[in-house]
Amino acid sequence: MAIGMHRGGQPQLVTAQAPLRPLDDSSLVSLYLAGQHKAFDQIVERYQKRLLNFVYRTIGDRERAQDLVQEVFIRVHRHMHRFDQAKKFSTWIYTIASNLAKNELRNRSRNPLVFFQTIKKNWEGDHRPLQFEDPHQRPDDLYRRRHLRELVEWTVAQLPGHHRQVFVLRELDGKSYEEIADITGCNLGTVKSRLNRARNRFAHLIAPHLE
Amino acid sequence: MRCADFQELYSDYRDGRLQDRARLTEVERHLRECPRCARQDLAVRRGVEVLRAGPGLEPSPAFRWALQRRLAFSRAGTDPGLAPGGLVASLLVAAAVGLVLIEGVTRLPQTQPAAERSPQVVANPGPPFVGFARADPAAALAPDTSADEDAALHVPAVAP
Repeated sequence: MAIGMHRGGQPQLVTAQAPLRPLDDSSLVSLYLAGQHKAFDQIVERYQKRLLNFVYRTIGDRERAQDLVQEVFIRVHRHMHRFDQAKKFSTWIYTIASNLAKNELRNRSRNPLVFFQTIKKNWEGDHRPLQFEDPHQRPDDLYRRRHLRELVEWTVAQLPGHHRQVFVLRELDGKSYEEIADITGCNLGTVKSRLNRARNRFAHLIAPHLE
Repeated sequence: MRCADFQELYSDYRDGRLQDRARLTEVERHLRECPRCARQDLAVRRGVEVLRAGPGLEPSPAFRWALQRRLAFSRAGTDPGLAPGGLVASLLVAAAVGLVLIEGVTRLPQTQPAAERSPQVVANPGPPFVGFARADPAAALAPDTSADEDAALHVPAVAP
């Protein structure tokens, strides 16, 4: 039994039978370290989609992104006892994901064949049938909307890797400048400068398609 | 305010970090008056809206299963990705060591000096091959077509 924090910020008595979903990250970490393995499942449930999208947008390869996110959870599982609980868990897990994604990009830049295969694979994956997306909307609206989304995703992919990562962390994951600085290992000035450049570039590329 | 000043302050403005009230008013006025900077702001806002509205990727059905499997191996202290390779490598090393030992034992008598060996009799030593001399010196300079001729001789006869 342990005292956990509700995600709303209220303390809550936690037992093995209590539902884990409402607990905040810090309580889940404490429970896991106390031997409750279900707490780790809840951490996976909470972060798998966010991390998958973050890593996918950073490296641009869905299957590889899944492998890397699995690797993130393996590392978290292995090194949880070393996590400083005075710090924010989400920053720690994003830092691990960011480092793995950066390594992947570095390795890929040394192997152009992998990059080509990634582009080909993603291009093939874009040919999904339209009718499965939203049956309540007109096909031309669906097409226009999907086309626009693909254009925006393509625009993000055009940003240089270190700008893209900062852009995604801020605009899609809602991280603060300080968190982004911790995750990427840069100082605040660099984060701000990269974000500014990323936004300028993003606007420059996408503006003609939005008019 | 010039466009360059706006560009510099844009991220602070967008993220609500512009604390100076006077600067904030200037930025807002510039946005109203400068179509170029207003267009940039609109593109960022709309583009990000589209990104956020997207469903995003979902982990594949096999994701959790594969993760559970890897976690189980991790708890057991082995990595599923590395374990089979490690096993094969261990077996190969063991086989190599075994071969070296066997080879060492069987070759041990041959390590004696050659002088102490008893003479060996070679049964039916053949005469050395000397080849056939050509009678015509000009023919000796011409390209050798004997192989082609031999091959031609072995062509099976075609039935009439």
